[in-house]
Amino acid sequence: MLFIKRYLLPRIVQFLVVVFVGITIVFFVPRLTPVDPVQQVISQITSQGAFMDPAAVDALRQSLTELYGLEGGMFQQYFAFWGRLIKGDFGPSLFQFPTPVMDLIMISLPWTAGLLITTTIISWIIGNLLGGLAGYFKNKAWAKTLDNISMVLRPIPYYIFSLLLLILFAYLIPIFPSAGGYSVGRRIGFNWAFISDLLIHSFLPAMSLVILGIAANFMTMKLIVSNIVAEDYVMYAKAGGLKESTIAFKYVIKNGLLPQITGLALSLGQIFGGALITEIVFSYPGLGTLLYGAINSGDYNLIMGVTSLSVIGIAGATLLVDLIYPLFDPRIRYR
Amino acid sequence: MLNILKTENLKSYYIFETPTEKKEVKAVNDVSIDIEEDKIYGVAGESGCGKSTFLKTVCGLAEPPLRIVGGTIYYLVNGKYVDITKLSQEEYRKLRWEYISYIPQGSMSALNPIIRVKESFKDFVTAHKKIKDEQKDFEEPLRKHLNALGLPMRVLKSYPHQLSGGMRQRVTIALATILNPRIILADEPTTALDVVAQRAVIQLLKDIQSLQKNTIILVTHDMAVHANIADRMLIMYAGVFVEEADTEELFENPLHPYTKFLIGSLPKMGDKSYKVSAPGSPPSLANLPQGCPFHPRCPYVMDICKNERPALVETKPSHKVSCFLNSKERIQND
Amino acid sequence: MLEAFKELMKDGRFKFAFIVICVLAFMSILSFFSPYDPLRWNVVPRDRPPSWPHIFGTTSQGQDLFWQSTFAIRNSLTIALIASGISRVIAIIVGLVSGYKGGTVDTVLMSINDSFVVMPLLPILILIASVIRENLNMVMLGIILSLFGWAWDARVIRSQILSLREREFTYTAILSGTKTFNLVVKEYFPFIIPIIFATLINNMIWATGMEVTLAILGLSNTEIPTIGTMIHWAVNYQSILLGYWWWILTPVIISVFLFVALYLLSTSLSEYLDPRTRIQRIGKAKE
Repeated sequence: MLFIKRYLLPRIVQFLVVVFVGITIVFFVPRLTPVDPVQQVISQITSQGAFMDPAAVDALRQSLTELYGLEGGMFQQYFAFWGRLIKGDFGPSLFQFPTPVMDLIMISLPWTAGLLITTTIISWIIGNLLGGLAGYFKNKAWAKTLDNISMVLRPIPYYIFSLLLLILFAYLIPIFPSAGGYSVGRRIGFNWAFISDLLIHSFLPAMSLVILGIAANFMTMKLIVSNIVAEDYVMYAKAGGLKESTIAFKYVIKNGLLPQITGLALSLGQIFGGALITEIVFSYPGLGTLLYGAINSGDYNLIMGVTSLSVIGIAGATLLVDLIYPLFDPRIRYR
Repeated sequence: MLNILKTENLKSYYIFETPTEKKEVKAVNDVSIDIEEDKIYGVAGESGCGKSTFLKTVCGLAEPPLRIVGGTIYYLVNGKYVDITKLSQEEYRKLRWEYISYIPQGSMSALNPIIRVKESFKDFVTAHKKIKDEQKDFEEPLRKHLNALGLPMRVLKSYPHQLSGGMRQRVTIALATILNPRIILADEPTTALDVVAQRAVIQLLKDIQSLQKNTIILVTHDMAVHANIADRMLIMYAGVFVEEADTEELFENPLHPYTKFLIGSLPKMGDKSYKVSAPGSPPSLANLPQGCPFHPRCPYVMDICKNERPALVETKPSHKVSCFLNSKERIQND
Repeated sequence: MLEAFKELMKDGRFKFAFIVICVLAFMSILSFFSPYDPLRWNVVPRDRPPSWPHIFGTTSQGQDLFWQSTFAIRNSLTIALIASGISRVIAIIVGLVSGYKGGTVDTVLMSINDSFVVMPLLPILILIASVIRENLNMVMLGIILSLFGWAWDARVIRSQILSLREREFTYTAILSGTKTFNLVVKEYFPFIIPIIFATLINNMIWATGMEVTLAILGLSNTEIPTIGTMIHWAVNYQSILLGYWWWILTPVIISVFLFVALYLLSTSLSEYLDPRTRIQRIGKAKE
């Protein structure tokens, strides 16, 4: 078990490095414009009609300067920035002034998290299962058909696919609602009426993520399995007259799932981006739609808040998946 | 003595086909052989002569690009000879491991790396036998088997990567013999092991054979191993068997020119004479010469050797050779 | 080279992909002959469905969809090429240095590298784009994309260098006094070129996807016609609701063809180059 320190420690360090690099990039972005962003923000707010007395404006200017890391020595600003980050203070939303950005994020976060976690798990399991079987029985007709379908689906970007689903099932054949997380006016509660409403609304966005996720997992798993099938222990199992189902599941697919766990950890960033886009297409009330509104209203604070939290969140999720890996691979568990 | 394995005109080629050319590597080129029960056979020959392919073909592991192109393979099942090339997948699957098992070259990775050794054994056993009472039907016989082979019980709880190379090899041998098969095919079981582990493996194989009274076909290029353990030997050259005899007879009276070179090149205690090997190099199995495959290198080559292939015939009691030199002698002696 | 091409053409996927790419390339060349200036509005009657002479239809802004598409394809491909090209250079440098030097340099570089692999790039790109929105012309967009698209391939190159470093010819070269630079450039490059080519296409897919996404969100210079900006305007003008299906479907279908073709190109190429699958291909006996 002490050897796990050899596994655990580097990964925790890597997590810190990712957060460090990502947040540093976020820190430097405001310096990309020649225009003074703080002044821009203040004029934007005042032009929207919010009345602020001079003392409040000064306080705002001060906190924004700190938040955008623009004043004082570089290191001083950098540490101040981190200080605010840890407190979860991203300043006020510019569009919905003066609501703090963090509050807005907290409302949208559960929607995104729910969608993301369920669809990722479902598409990982189904995609790998189908890919594994198709890779093992690669000459069967159904395997080839699935392969061709996945080949076409895989490279399609999330936006295009979600848009196609939207057009198809919300406009042309209006089965599903075209927007929102639940019907307008519905009361939130743990009753079937609400939950079924929720499910209907999240069906299309979930479908979009699940189908593309399955296609991606299918293709990588098939490739992995085609390599495993040539391994000595698979040939040996065949020589031993083991049943096909035993070989397919216990010898091939089970071994193939291991690199797929690592693969999942590496693609979380991409999946997250896809989820954001899908939400935007379906106006699903998660971080994606929040971000879209922020882009359209020039709400820089909100964008920065979502980005920073995304970096930390995805890095953390990656670390979690990495930590699950030894549970499945005895070669790491025992040395 | 019963023959438990027979091949007739067995041809097994690696076929590579592109739209522009077709390449056939004739690894097993018309082999007819009878293998008796309760004997250890040693198959010797250079690298690339087709020894491993022969084993793979005979135990049904021929996968594309390797194909059985012609001939038959017989197992003795329930007193009758069955041509396994005509069996269905499922029928053949049942025969595996109970009738014939295989120890591959480099057994380092022959075991599933993510399950414990005990579970690997269970997989192989349950594929052929129903286990009603786990203790009685599975664990007891397993322990007895490992004990008989001198393997410690701790290997059962281990994962393959936790065992040393030599130990893994011995576990693989134990696995290959758990169902008391009538034939065991061992492909270079001692290569890639240090001498101490080699000795353990050879001893293990001997013990198994005397315990279970089955036939072992052992393939290795190491003549010392053959001298140590084989009862009868088969010399393979360019996809065919060129000589077959009891081990002692072969070492003392090699008849085929190739075998003569082979035996002659072995170091003997106290013999400091110059060693001669056959001139030239073995032919490419994709581009075999006409007639006898050895004739380009043979110092006794005759005209007939260049045009016709000699058959494997018995020229002395229990000593077969595939060479026109010897059959000519026989004809002359008649 | 010619035999390689002929061999590749036998793969159905490569054939399809190649034809599609040729058609798209042809369309982008056509853009130089466009009778309409892509930046101007109201040059043709608005909202016409596909008919002669506007074979793809027209937009609500009074632009001919067909000729818009020719510019869109050309610009999208240009951005993708710039982004992929520059990121190849970065990937090669990082991969080479990391793989050859090893040690602390390697550990530090790969740690930073992995950060770029794990990071959620979309929010970060959105952040950057929202700040420099006005200055985001094609070259700028290409450069920014290239700064983020090198990480994965740097690792691939690094592992290739690692295996090459252990090979005998490396030791021979070092012992015979070859300077490091010469060694790396002359001896290793022939091995790396196929990898670069295969990853280039993959990177183009990613870069185009990002460009399309950013444009749809309104974050790039929406004046310049690209596949992404076309979709952006179509969505903005509610073309779906108003039933102007040709406006939204034209860029969508073009992009689907582009992505699928690039992907098939990339998979068939890398399968062709991978020696293991090559043998599998020629060893497949007819059953």
